[in-house]
Amino acid sequence: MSKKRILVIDDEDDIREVAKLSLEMVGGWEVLVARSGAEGLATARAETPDAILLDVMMPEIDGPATFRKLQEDPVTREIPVILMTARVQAADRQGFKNLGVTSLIAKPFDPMQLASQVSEALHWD
Amino acid sequence: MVVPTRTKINLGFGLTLAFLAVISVFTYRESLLSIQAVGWVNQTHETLEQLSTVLSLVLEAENARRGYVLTGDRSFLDRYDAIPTRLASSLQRLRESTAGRPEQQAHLDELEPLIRRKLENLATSIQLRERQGATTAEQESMTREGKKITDQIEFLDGELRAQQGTLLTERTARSQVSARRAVEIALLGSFLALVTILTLLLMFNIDISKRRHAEEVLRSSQERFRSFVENAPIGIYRTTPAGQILMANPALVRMLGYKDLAELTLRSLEGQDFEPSYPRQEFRERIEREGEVRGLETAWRRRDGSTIFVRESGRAVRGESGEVLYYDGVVEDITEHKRAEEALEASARQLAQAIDLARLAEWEFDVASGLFTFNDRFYALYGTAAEREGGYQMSAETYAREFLLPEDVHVVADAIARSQATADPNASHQLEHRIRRRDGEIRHVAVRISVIRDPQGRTIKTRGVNQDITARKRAEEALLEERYLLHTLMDNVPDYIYFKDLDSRFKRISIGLARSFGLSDPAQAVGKTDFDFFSDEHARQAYADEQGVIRTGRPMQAIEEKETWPDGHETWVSTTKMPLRDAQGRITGTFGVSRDITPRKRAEQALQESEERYRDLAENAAELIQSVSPEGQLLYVNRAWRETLGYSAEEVPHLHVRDVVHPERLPHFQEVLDSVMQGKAINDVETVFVTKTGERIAVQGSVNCRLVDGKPVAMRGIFRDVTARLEIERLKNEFVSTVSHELRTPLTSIRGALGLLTSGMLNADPAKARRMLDIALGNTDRLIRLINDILDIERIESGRVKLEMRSCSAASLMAQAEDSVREVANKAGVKLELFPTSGNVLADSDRIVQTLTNLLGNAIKFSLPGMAVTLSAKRSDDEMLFEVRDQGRGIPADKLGVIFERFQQVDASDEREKGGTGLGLAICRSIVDQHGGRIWVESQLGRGSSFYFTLPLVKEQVETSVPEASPGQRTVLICDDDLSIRAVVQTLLEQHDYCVLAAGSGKEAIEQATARQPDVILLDLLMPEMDGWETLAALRERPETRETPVIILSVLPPRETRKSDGKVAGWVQKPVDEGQLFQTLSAAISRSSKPARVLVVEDDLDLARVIQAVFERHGNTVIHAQTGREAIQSAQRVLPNLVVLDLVLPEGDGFEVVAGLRCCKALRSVPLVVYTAKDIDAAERERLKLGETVFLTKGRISPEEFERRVIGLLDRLMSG
Repeated sequence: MSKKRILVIDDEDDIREVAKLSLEMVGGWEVLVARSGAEGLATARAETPDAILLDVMMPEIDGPATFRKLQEDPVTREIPVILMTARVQAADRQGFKNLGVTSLIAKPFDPMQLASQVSEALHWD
Repeated sequence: MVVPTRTKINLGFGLTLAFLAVISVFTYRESLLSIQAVGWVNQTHETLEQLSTVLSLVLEAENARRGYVLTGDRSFLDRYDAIPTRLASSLQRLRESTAGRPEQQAHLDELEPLIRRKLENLATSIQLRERQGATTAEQESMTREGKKITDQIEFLDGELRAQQGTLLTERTARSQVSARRAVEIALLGSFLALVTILTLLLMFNIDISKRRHAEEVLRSSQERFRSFVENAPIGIYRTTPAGQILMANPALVRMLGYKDLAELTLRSLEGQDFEPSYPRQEFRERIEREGEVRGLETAWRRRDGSTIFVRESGRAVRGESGEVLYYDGVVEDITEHKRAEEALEASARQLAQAIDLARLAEWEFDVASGLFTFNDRFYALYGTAAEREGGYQMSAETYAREFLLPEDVHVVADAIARSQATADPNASHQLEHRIRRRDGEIRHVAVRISVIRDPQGRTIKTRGVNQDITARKRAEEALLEERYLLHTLMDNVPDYIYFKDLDSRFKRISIGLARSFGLSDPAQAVGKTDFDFFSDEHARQAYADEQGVIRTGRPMQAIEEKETWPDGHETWVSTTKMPLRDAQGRITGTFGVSRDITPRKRAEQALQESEERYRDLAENAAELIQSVSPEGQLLYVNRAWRETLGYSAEEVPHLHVRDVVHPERLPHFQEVLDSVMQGKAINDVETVFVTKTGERIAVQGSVNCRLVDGKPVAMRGIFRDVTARLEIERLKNEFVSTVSHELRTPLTSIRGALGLLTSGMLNADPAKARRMLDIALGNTDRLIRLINDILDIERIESGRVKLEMRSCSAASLMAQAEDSVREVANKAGVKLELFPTSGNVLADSDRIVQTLTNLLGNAIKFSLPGMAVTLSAKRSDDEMLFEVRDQGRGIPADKLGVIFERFQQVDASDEREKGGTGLGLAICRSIVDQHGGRIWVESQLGRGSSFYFTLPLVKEQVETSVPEASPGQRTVLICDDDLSIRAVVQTLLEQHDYCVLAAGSGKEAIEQATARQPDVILLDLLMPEMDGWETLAALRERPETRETPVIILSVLPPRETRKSDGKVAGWVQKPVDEGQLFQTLSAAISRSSKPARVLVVEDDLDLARVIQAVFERHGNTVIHAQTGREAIQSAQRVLPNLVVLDLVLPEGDGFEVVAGLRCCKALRSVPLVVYTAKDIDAAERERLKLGETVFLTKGRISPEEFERRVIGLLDRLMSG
């Protein structure tokens, strides 16, 4: 089985870098990154990663909008999406869950646990 | 035969006209003939004239020839030559005039050749004369022949003339005859016409006199007739065929009761005017049929409506063709006669009735046999007949059994017995009893009994007459019954019933009313009026009402009346008043029913008052109060409700719940109403109303239901408008959510980076580890800024930061701001330009510098290297306008409105790239708002942005206060003619705790320097009037300033100073480099500073190490204390030159330390730097004052800033 490929979409350079390092080193996966919703959509379509880690708060196309566009596209529809958000109030969480994403990871995250959180959510053993 | 005058006239005129016509024709004809005859006479005259002409011409020709022949004079020939032509024409005319006359034509036929021969003869004679001269022989012969011809001509002429003469005579005679005849005919005709007209006139006159006579006769006849008609005792009339009265005599007018004939002639016998009992149609038909009607007796109606009986005769007056022109008739009033007849008839009828009555139901009772004998009428009365009862006799027992009611038997028996017992033979007895007829019907009879006795006085027979009185009896009974009912009603009903007469006097009242009047017996009220019982006011009103009913006949129904009584108390009744009518329908009074409704009225009043009270409460309540019908219709809402929802009171009754509850919330609200209708009250209703204009109003409140007899009648709700509160809550949640997100974002990076570092995974890769550290550090800074900003804005907006408003120089504020961003600008390669203006603003300088710094920082962030950022100020009448302009990318129009909101960066990613917190502009706005200024932005995409804000201007005051240096403070005099330079440098120096004197010219500098003796002078070189060098020289000449160090501040580069320039302590080139300036200043001021002892009180060891390193680097001794107690002990031991104090400490906090140090005299005025993360208010600052005290906030100033401030302070202290 080849290496899992995971796409991280976040407009925060630092978070993107930390997450990438964390997933590469701890999860041992190949990590693609995108710095905006638009870039993320293009990458997802081109690379069809195994999973997408998607930030909620982004300028222009935000996380939920990106997710909806992924769902609309037959190429990317099947890719599981995990939302990352710093908005952790109960109402916000419920709203995100209702979108139909696979899982939700709260920021700040533990870089040593991030990979396992993702695996768990996606049932990767 | 009688010929009418008109026919005669016509005939006469016709004849006359005929005569005249005939005369005209004849006269005309004769005139024509006469004219013709005259014509012919004339013609004859003309012929004769022509003949003469011809003859004379012939003679003239002869004479001419003779003259020529005799004389040979050719002039004779000239006359001759014209003659033949003229002859020809005369002959021609002669022929024309005699045309139609053969005999004359024949003469002419002869004449013409003769004339031709004559002419030829003449011509030959002339020719002869011409050829031969006067040869007499030949001429003789010619003359003779000529004479012969002439004679013939004359003969013919004579003939012709004779003929014409005869003709003339003839014709003249004929003409005269014609003329005479015409005159005769005319005369004759005129005479005839005259005769005819005369005859006519005669006849006409005869006719007129005849007619006059006839008229005379007629008139007198009419007079007689009129007199007869006018005075006749009987009525006479003439009507049109249609019945319209044309004429009626006074007797008829009187008879019918009219005023005069004119009034009567408006009427018609046909119509309803007289309502004749005999139809006029038939009347006319009868006249048609019988020629006339005689003695018809009918009834007519008079004008006053009464009836008269008349006997009428009538006939038709017909026209020539037999059509009816009029009806004439005579009418005789036979009313009296008729009445008499009727009376007669009536009496006859009465007689007949009497006779009939006499034949009553008779019986006879024979005492001896005990048998009754009845007649037929008796049986008829009893509904039977003799045949059925087996004869006219019947035993008393049978009679009683068959026909009497058992309870009446003894009544009858008693009566008979009584009558028999009476002694008086003439006495008659009466009784009434009931009988049962054969058909079972019960009837009443009246019996009159008489007794027949024998001479001894014994009763032999009893006779009686029975009369059926059932009808009377029943009427009596009905009357009794009604009376009984009425009494029962009047004596039992508690309602007030009364009957009054036309004058409103009581005729009868019910017992209830009598009681209310205080009477024991209703009869006492009879004849009295309301005035006897009520107050005058009420009685008058009642009287007026009743008279109204009487007058109009209209009842007053169920009116509510307030009764006032003489003692002043009031009662209420509901009254109906009706007109009282007799059998004929005439109003004879009034009656009415009233019911006492006083208790109800009082209850209503009480209810109304109570409702008014509560309504008043509800109306003025701040809550929204509404009442809704079970159908959802709004019944009542209070003012707050109307005002909040925007409806007028008039609109409310048309509103339904669904109009005011938001459609989304309607089902829920309906559920609430439904459960409330079950009788439940709900106290925690939350719903949303919609205003008239469509705005949402969130409300909370309670709803309950008013039940009447267990049925819901209204649902009442009281609500509070919680829209604003909910909005605040929403905003708060939104803010918390946003802030938490903003805080978590840098924390995510920090947590992630440190997590990876800590795991040791990066040990093998130092570059990655280093990178993670940078990330952690950078985000830590960002987090600190963010927290500071959040706290800042929160404090400013909540008003917890009290702005220290002072009059500040705008230029100074701008210089300070520029100073703090210069380094950043330099790094970014952005040019900073400053255009200050003079003038003071009322401001908290720190806050305005913060604002300017913020705006400048943003401008620099969004500028590319090489671009310029400008800070300028402009003053208007009452405010200062600051502008920060950049040439960056600009702001999209849709963002201009929101960029002053929190976390509303134009591009969220800017925050990371440019290191902003998203709160900078929000803070700026808060600060400017608090200053009473305005802030806004103008921008063009790609061209740059301008941020503006205004501050209130301080009215220009003469700056009288001269800065005074505090103890230990150095004084610097700056002399520059450029205000902005002065302002910038002054600001810089003041920031470094120098006391600054400013001078705009050399002269001023010398004055100030002499007066104040500053520690150092900064001197511009290029100045008008007195330049730097001259000033320097002047300073050197004065003893007060001779030794004062002077630093040259110039755009010129340093150069060797001349001997004469005196001592120059240093040279700072413009633009001013801050570092260089202070270095030079420090150098210039005597550097006698000794190493200082600094006590650092800080419980955080890491931070303490950092601070210690700073001081040691500058050659100072640092003593560290970790707790409050330790700090006081150390201070007392070492007597530090400066104390750096954290406030949050174990074992006694910073305040206690200060208090402790104050107790020691040696330490009371030790300079102090309070370095803490805690925000300190004014009171706290006061408690922390020691010697010179500086407050620095951890996180708010950078480590570099900290170092600069504390070392600067220390230097100054040590050099002082």
